[in-house]
Amino acid sequence: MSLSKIIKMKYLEIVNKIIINTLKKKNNYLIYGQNINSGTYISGLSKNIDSIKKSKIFNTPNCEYSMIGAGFGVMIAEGNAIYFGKQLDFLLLGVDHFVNTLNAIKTNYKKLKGSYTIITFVCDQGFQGPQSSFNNIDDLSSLAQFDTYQINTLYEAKKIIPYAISKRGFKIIAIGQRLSGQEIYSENPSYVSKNYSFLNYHNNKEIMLICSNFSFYYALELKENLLKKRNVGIININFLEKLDFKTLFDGIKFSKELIFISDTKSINHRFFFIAAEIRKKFNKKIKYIYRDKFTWNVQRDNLNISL
Amino acid sequence: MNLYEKVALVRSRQHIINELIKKKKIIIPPHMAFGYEANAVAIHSILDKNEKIILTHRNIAYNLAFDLNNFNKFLNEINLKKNGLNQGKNGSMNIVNLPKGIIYTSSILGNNLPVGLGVAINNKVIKNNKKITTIVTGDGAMEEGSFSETLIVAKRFNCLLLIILENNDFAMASTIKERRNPINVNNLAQAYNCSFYSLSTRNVVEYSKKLKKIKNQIIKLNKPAIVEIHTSMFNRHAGVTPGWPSDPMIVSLNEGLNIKNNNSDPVYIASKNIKKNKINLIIKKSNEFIKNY
Repeated sequence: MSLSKIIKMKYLEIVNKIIINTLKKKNNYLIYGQNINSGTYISGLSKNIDSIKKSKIFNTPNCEYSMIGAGFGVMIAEGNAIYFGKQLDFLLLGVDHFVNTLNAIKTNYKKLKGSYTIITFVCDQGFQGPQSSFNNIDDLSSLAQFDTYQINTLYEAKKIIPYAISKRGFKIIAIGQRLSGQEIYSENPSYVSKNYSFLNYHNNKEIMLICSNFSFYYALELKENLLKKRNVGIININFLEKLDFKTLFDGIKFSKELIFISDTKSINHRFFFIAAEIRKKFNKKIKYIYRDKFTWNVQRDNLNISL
Repeated sequence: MNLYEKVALVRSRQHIINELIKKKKIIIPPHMAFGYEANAVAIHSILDKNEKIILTHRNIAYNLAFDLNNFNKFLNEINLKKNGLNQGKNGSMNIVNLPKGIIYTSSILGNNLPVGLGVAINNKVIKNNKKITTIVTGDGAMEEGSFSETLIVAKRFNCLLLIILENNDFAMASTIKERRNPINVNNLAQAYNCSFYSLSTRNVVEYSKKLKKIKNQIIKLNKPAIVEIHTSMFNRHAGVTPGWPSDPMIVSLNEGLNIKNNNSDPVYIASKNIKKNKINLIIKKSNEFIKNY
């Protein structure tokens, strides 16, 4: 695995193509959101959406609280909804639904026939102003413990986007806006859990870098630079209701050292939970790389990945 | 059973629950809805099979009216029993009854509006049918932003949406006058290009007839409608509200089914159209139920 494996395809271009190609194969979905078929097409995320012919596409008014809630209504009415949320902080307006509506539905619907997927940018370049501190999809998904998928690599885009869109129930697919213009990593993982909770880019190396949110490229940088003389693998985590710990444990049981990396600006790191589960089973050296402080007025706030 | 008798039966069951609350035999006291019976029975009378309704925390009159044969299941639910309507998982404020079309109920003010909106969008855009979706809300919930948002989006999709706005003048303990300026809902509806209707007689048969016409108008005009129903609320919260000494209303079955002997009480109007011996039988059975519970 090396940086040379990064092919000449831009992250956002490929993510957009896969989203649109996936949706083209679906029948009678409700696809909606602000500016999804006008202007910049949500900075390119919904580009070519008008080529989707078998579903209904609606550019909607702002009304984020109600647009987010309506997707849950479509889902319990056995329909399939796709809501493009412009950026993660817009979804804050729908937090009530992620807590109250979703929990009520979880209580009252054992098996849902419908589906609801939110596709959103996580604005994590640091230039967004006061909302810049909110770049952690886990902060949202932990509220009612729903599935979120963070797309980092080509494999994840190709496999997880169609999987998540087709899956019944509610989930969020998060796209890293910071990664938009960069080339996407294209090597396949060596092992993947069935529900995509863990994707192992090489198992049981001497050091395993365990990444959450959009930390994968920080892990690559670490592997290629500071740890270039060591034997290093990477694991990407998606935070799902049911984490496949067996896959995780199988992928690290022979490793000597684990390094958890989070690029979030939140102090709410779910990797502490993963680390706690690992500690119950293994006695391994564990390090953590994360921000301990963030101020939004320091615009570009890159993660310091020194060891 | 005719509509008047159903109104009386729903009232009697609220009385039963209210008396059981007094006897501390209810674990989760529901938000009572004495005065709402005609609304619930009339709306139930106009909905077709497969038409859905979305309710609020104050859902008791609707849950009783929509499933008159399952009173024990409702009681078991508010006592958190596994054989309750929702296996005792919801308590009182989120009770659903999927086979009867009550597919979502929210304890959160204004939360149910967007969810109902989604159901209506699904009917209109995805299923392309003429099923009406009904959302129940109130004069307090309409102060939430979701009310305006729902109207904007409902018109955007020309949803066949029936919004029942039960105006009881109260948001918890505050009257409209105590908390805000009055809002002319008719003007508001016009601003969003939605239809508006007002009901205030508390007569269930009249409500049923008018709501049937309104339902047809929603389909014909292809746009959402708000129906403001002026509703008396004879007790305000979950039985006699603890710590609220100024809550004046103590409702008792000993006084009969009626709470007011005037046209503000839908059961007073209904009882004028029911034989006296039937009313007495309902009261007798209610007292027996309470005694044996």
